[in-house]
Amino acid sequence: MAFPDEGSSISARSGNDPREREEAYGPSRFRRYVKGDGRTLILYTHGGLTDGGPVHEGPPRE
Amino acid sequence: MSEERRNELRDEPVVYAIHRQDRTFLPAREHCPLCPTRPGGEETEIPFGEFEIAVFENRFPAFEAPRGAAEVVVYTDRHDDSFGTLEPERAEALMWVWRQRYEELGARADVEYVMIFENRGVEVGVTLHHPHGQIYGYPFLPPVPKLELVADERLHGCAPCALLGRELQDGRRIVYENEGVVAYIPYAARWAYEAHVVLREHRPSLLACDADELRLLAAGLQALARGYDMLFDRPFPYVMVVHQAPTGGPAAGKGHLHVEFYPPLRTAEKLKYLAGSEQGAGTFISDVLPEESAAKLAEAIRRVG
Repeated sequence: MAFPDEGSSISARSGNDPREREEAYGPSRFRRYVKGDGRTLILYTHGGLTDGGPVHEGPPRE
Repeated sequence: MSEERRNELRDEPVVYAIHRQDRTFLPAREHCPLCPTRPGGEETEIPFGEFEIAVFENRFPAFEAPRGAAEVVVYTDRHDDSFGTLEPERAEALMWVWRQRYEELGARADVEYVMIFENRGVEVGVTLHHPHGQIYGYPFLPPVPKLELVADERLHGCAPCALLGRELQDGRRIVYENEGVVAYIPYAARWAYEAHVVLREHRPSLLACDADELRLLAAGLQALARGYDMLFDRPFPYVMVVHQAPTGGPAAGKGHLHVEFYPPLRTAEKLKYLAGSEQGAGTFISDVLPEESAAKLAEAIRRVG
């Protein structure tokens, strides 16, 4: 699913190039928006989940 | 901004978020604030016509910067879905969203403990029916995860690992298992159908899980949620809480990822209330043996398939 652009009541959080506004996390992509009252909204979309692997090792396993 | 006080008799925090008194309460379906915004309709929390998964800062937060965080996680733009009825791919995607939020909120200096949870059903106080969960970033380590760390010391190692080993050895209370997780009703469950979904391997948090483990965790959680609905042939209310390692303070990184469900139903029509013994003495009185409820729940999960 493509991320929608900003509307009258919401704006992209940063970046002018739409591609720069997207962030990747594992098999997910997300995009941040700022709502009219200043709160953050994040939309996530997913694809190729079966190809996803660990993207961050995280804290050491005990 | 909320106010934090300390109950000295119980040695526990109490948070006063008086602005939450005004939050949206069981709106009619056409006024659901978690649905996508329809053309010509009133604007919802998500001002777009469709979405997959959305996260936003709670309009009525119990915690907010610079003393924590409160977020809402909307699982789908379909109002009538539930966690259990999501497509498996969507549930798997949700695990990645949880992981990302745990990592980002946990990195904040004002967040010591990230708790992902879902309240389902009016019986547990839900105010919006649209499928969603919440995330609290506590600016302190709350009593329950603190007690889990004490249990680690008492059992001389990881308590969830030890308890999982006991449950696997006994076997009578296991209701579901796959290669990555085991679900069981604990030996000393407080609620008739309380269930814990525990990672087989020791993983402090979602960050330590690989893609396969996240997929298997999602499968286990959905199997349980669907089994609950099958059990009494009705939407089954529950509180679902993801237990992970604290992200700040001296206990950061110590824990064992598992998900606990606290359903208030003890029969199809009867609720368990926290009454005299539970509230006054901290002692749950249950009228169902975990072995008996586990047999019924396991059968319901098998029927769903």
